[in-house]
Amino acid sequence: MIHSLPPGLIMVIGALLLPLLGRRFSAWGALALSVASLAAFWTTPDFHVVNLTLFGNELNVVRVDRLSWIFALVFHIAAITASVYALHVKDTRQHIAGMVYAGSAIAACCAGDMITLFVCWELTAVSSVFLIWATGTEKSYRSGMRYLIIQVISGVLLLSGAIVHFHDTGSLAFGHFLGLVPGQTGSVRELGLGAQLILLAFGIKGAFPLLHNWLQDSYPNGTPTGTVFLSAFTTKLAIYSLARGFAGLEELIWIGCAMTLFPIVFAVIENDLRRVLAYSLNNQLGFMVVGIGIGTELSLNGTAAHAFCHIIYKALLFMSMGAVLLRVGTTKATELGGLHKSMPWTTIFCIIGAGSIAGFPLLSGFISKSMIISAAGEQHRFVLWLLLLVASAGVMEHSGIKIPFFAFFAHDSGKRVKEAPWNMLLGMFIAAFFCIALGINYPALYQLLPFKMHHAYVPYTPAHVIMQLQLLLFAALAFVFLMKTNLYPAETRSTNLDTDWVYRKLLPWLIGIGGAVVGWVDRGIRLCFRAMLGGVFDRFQRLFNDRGALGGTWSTSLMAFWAAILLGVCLLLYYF
Amino acid sequence: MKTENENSPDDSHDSKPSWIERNVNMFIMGLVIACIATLVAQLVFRPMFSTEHPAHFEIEAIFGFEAIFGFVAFVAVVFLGWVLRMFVKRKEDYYDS
Repeated sequence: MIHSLPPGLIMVIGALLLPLLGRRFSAWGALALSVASLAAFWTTPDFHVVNLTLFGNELNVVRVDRLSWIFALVFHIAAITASVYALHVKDTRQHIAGMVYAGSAIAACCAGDMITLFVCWELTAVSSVFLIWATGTEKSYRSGMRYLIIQVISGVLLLSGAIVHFHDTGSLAFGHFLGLVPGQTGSVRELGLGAQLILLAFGIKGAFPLLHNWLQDSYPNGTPTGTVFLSAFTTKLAIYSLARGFAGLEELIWIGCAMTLFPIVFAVIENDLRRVLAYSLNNQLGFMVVGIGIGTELSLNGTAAHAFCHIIYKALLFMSMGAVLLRVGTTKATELGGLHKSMPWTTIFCIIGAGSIAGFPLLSGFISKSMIISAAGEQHRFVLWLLLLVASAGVMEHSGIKIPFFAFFAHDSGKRVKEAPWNMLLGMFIAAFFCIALGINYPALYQLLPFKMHHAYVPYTPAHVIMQLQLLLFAALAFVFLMKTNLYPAETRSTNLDTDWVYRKLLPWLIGIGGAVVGWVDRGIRLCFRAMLGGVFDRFQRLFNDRGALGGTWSTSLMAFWAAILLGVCLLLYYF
Repeated sequence: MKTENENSPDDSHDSKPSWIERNVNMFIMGLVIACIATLVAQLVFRPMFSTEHPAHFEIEAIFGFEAIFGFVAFVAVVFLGWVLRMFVKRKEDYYDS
């Protein structure tokens, strides 16, 4: 019975009952829901499918195969970890939002048709915005509104694309839009209009270049615990959907490559460390999109493995910054420093997360990211391979060094705060445990990957370990060199413009200018018309006033003369 | 944002440098030694490279390639940051004003 319901539905329905537990126990209720949902999901049979007929169309509301299974599993792990991390929060709204959000994301990646996907897609958007609004500031309210508008646009594009696709093909099934299998490649030009609209919807949610800035705008404005939820689901749901529908699309390789590169430069100069993490998230998504674009078994497995590891270490990094935000009240690098003295455990967990994202051996990033880079190498794509190496050095910069260094070390800010609450530390411990466990016991993850590989991928070869250590350690040496020579850009309080400038400044300005122009034109037309009308009235007035031609008193002889003329004309007309 | 550091210990009793701050040079020396160790390891394990880790590109075979690449790429990213900052940096309250 339980398996005929979409996975995650326990969390969505159960969330609505959380208010019954009161402020004190709703957090525990949320944790219990996540665990119960995982227990139900764990016993789901392989290749499980549930169909439902609605309005004469068969909807595939549950489709659990290997690709959806690994994503749904890591979503559950993220939901449980984030729930533990949020146990101290007394705001029931946040727990409801978190559970509905996580549950709908899980249901979305187990959806076999595009209508179910659309419903879950929109539910993730509507529920997650409350995690931003819960901060309770004007800034977070505005940021949440922008987030919601962009997410809903993505949903509308998805629905429009699904309708067009259904019209063209008669199918609502959510599968590969070109029917490609791993190893085959295609192009965006081969897609129909419906599939192109769906790709755009996924691109918005997946933070493609130029469509990305909702991510850096909204995530730093979430609550300390809410951002941990946010970091896990939305963008990775997009990655899952891209892997399902568009694997092997050549254009995705270069889109992904751009995504790995431009955020690292923004991250260098960003002061808010949660915003640095949002750029870093964008950069990590880039690796996954490259893997999807390459479209081989190795690269797609790499994408799934990297998404799995990334969700956990990124949650860990956001958790460490959330703890700093809770205790210090800010995550601005200019205000922080020296926190290792008062938050030693948070420091250690943050360093483990930073080491994982940078890809140090024995930590999770090493065994997943390398699969994607190796897949690029196997395809002999030299430029791509080189650019991914640059991006790897960039990851070392913004997440490997900058986050832990400026928060916990650097110049001592003099702030002495309490260590994070026990539940936050436990949440970080669970995530850190997974980072290390996945790095060491990598076969456990590899056997969950969606595709069977002809040649088993072995991450721990002397060459790979030594090469990776060279890259990372010499990058760290470069940091020391730049700091010692004062060439590293100092942290300053500033706002750095990104594409959100277009809709936060340029569009309002253009609308203002447009409004002013319309006003001027309108005023001009009114003035002209009034002037014309005034002229006509004046003329009539002059004609009909006492001295006017038509208004004055005429003599009898003149009247008789004109009457005679008129009668004469009538006579002539009568004859001819 | 409400903070929970009201009951935090006073600032004075913990103001002396920590063990880590007193040994920064030791950490830097450790890093330099680790860097050198990776280069030495590359020399030692080189015969195993071709069999266990098939190189996809010739450039990978150059001694210390990833070391130089890591250093240069890191410096390049930071310098690009300087350049980007010239174009995109605004006052902190830019969007609020």
